Amino acid sequence: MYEGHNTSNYMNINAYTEYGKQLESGHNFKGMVGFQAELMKYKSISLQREGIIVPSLPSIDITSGTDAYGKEVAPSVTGNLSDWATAGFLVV
Amino acid sequence: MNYDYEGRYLAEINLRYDGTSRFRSDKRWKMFPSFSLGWNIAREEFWKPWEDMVGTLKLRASYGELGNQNTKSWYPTYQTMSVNASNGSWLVNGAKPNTAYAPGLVSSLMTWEQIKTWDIGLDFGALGNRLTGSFDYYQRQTLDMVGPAPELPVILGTGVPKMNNTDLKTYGFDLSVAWNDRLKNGLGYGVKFILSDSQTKITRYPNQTGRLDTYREGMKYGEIWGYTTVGIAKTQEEMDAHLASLPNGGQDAIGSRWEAGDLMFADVNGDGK
Repeated sequence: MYEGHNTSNYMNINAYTEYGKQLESGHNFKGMVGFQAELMKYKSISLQREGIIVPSLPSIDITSGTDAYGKEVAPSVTGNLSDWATAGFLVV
Repeated sequence: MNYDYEGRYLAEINLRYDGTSRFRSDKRWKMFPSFSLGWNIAREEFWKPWEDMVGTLKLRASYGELGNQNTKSWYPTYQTMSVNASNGSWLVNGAKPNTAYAPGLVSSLMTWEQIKTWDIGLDFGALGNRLTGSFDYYQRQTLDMVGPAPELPVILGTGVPKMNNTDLKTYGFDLSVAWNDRLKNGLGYGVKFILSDSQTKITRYPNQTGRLDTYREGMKYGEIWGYTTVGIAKTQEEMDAHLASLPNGGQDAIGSRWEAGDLMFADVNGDGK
């Protein structure tokens, strides 16, 4: 019986402000300042234990922990945590 | 920042300051500026006489720097050890021990790849914008690219890590001309012609021994190497004579049972090998 879960959260923020000015004389100006950031968080866990007792109820708490020959097998548990981020300031 | 004067002279300046979690704090932040200039000649007073014929004519020039931080690993500057539970191939107190391996080398100096691009271009629209076209010539430099790991003496004793060791230069052009119109019965149609070409050259790579199976300074990306031939042997005698002219192995080094109908490879440096 194996069960694995993973979640990833991605957050992305963009903030900016614009300004524009058109003069009678024909000069046009436009400007923008902004900030953007990304954050990715990833997490996973998985577990495995031998010996499903009731085939229609595959759940870790009702496994026997023994393999097909009745030998005890240690359950395995794994976990993983990682993330990355970027940030940027811009003037356009 | 964006500026234009009556849509005739145009200028734009951009500035970015970017940071990423993938590199160490002193290699993390980088400034990337860019700017562009444009001159819309068709809006000039002196263009009035030709305005009906050519309604758009614009010269452009731009320069920009951008960065790439997309490394395969999320933690490229940190060494990682692989740890495994009860998988040793020997016994300690009657049980298999846990194992851990010494980590491979990494470059903790890893940083942004920089891409610097120059572009000059021309846009035009003529005959009521039915005939449009544009031309661009560009030169792009990719600096500090993460290239293949360099060759180091075997005495290092472990795999060589990847690092920011390669510069590339790409140059090329794009040309497109299009015709779009609508017939009197309402049917619209268009044709477009596109022509473009580009070449990439390696301008920096640590390959002191001149190996051919990896990047070399001055190498063109995608180049093909082969043997020079002197032709196909028409008779067995011709092939025998060719093999006899290479006393030091020559053609036999790349194959055997050379017969009529096979290629005869040239001995370029005349050493008979």
